[in-house]
Amino acid sequence: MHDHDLDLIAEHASGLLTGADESRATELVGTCEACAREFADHTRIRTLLAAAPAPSLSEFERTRLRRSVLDTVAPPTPAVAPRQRLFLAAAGAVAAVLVVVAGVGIVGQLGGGDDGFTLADGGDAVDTTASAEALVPFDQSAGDEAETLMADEDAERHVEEAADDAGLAAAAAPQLMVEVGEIDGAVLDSVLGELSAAVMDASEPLVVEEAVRFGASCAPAVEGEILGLVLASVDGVPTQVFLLGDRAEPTVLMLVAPDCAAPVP
Amino acid sequence: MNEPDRDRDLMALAATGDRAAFTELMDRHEDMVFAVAMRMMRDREAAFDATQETFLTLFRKADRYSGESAVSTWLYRVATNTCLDLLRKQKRRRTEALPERHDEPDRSAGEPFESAEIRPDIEAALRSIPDDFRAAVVLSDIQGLSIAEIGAILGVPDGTVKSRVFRGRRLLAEKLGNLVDQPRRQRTDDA
Repeated sequence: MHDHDLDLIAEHASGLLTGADESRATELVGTCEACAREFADHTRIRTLLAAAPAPSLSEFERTRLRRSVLDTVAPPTPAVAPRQRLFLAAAGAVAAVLVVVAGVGIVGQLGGGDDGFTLADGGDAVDTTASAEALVPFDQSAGDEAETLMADEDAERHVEEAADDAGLAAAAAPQLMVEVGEIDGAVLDSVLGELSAAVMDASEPLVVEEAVRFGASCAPAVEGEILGLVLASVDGVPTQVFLLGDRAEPTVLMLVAPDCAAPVP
Repeated sequence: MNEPDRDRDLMALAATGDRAAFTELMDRHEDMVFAVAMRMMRDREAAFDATQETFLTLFRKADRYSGESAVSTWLYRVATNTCLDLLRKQKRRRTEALPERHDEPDRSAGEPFESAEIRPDIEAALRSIPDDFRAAVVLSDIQGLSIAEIGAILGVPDGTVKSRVFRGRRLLAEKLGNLVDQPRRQRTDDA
């Protein structure tokens, strides 16, 4: 068999032949062992590849992608409410994913601690184990890029305002801040799981073992440092989500403090 | 309005800086671009970077879109070229980063994709073939594009596309030889 025949068989396996060429290829496959093997190999590879499900972006990645691209090429118009404008400004002109590498310290009610967290009265523990299917490692490089595009002081001011809103003591900038825009409550857990993995520099998404969502009383006494902050609108309610934790431990406790009202059922 | 016409209208609006048009274009095509990038690149983060770069390029050059080819074809072209560029840069960086007398293999190349969406052995085999072959095979056998479409995307004649697809498949068949032969041996054993 010549190379020419091999290509003819490959074309046949690809469904590219008609008429006399197709008849000849069919005959070769039936009479020539090498041709039959060639046909089988092409067919098998085509079948294997065609059967592979298309990978898709997670909701977190989709949000990051849109923010980073759209804020670069088509910055949002200023016709938004002052508070939203503050969020958008904090998110920066290019990326909504921000890594602010700064010494993280908590003052006032928040003190650094290695033992995780304690929570005062008023919180209802909710299991929000994140769906591993939707989790992906965080793109630190995108954050690095964004870091250069946003003044640290803007981020710090934004975090302090969010902390004030949440009834927490003003804090230094977290290592990571994300604005995810409008999401529904069902997506929140996966977003938080991904963010927690990013904060912890983990190669795998972390399982969020415990989450505490604030009820009416919003005066928590917590220990730990603010590792991350998510700015979101959860089911239409402006929400700030603080990730508090200890980088040495592979777990993260989250506090959802949307202006001291629980946004998520 | 059919899909290509809608895409063209959106591109025209995007060229004027219309954010809503940008958003709708991304909504329509981001999964397709990401799927191509995932098959071309070595890991998910690199695929995300390539997807991001593809859309940035698309929107920055939206005013140059002539409308002669479908937006999806243009996007495939930008995505594929972006991936190939990033892969070339990765290779250069790996080569430059290797100290003398250090011949350690690229560990990341052997790691399975984090997604469990394609069998690891197939994924590894796909990553092992030359980039040009992989691009042709991905567009042909995974994305299901025609030889002519792939030729327009890659900017090569149809004959070259066929050659790359066929050679790419043969290499994959070699890499997956055990897998391919297994059913035959099984049948022999049964007999």
